[in-house]
Amino acid sequence: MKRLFLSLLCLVAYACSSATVYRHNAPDLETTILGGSATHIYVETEDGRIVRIPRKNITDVDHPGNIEAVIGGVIALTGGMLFAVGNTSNQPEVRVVFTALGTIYAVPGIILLADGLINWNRSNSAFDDRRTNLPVLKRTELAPSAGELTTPATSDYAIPVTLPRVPTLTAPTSSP
Amino acid sequence: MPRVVPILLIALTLANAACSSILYRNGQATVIGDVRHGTPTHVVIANSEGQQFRIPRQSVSGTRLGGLRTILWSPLTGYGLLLMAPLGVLQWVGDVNALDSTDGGNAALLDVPFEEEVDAGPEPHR
Repeated sequence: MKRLFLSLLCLVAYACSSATVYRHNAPDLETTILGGSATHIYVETEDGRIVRIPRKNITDVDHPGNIEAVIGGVIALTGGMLFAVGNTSNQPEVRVVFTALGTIYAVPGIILLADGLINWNRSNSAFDDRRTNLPVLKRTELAPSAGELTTPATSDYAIPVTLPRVPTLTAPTSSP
Repeated sequence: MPRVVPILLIALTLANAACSSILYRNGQATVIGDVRHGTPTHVVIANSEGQQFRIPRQSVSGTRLGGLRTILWSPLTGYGLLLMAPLGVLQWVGDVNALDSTDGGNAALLDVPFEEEVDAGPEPHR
């Protein structure tokens, strides 16, 4: 029984609030979805910043809580079945034992189920949100070094291309 | 029955997440995938479509390599420890070697797209 609760504890701790965002032409992300606009979703970085990801590159999202909810549902169902078996018995001792077992399974099962559904719904709602428009703050990476020019980004995923600075030419002056 | 449930829980959870490594990045979203190999300046990670990307080592602030969770949780599985612990160690050692390697420089690799930081205002939207 101790092991069961340890396992449930680990599962709840693991199944926090991170969604897996699968993308085309980009690495997959393990992140918390905070909201979205019509064209982007906003996700949180490890150091607490918020960055935006274009929706057009997202191929799939695995929202958190689904596995937790399924496992919680199975455990809660097991508890319910133990209750049912206890209720059909005519012997009081059997009824007490099965009711206790049913409680032991049903309570953590329902907690897991509820927590999973809440997490899944929160992440799903944030992904479906298309009304939050946040301005782009700044570019923190890929800043051009001295002596280099940067072409303007033509799309959200364009990587700035560094070009060597061309020396300026001055018109020859006419000598007397 | 009580012995079966923890094993079922852990097996399901591990099947979902243990195979992938997680790389935390400075100011950028956390990426998850298979760490394939590395170069002196970059780490190469593959996404679910098999595309390989290179991430500058200097932008990686931390890692959670695949297999580590398998090792940590294996005692909870009772006799499953005998199977899961070696599997976790093998996977973790493989990922550590891939992360530390510097000889994967010839493959055609894609740069990781840059993610733009947004201004959430004084009260971040949560």
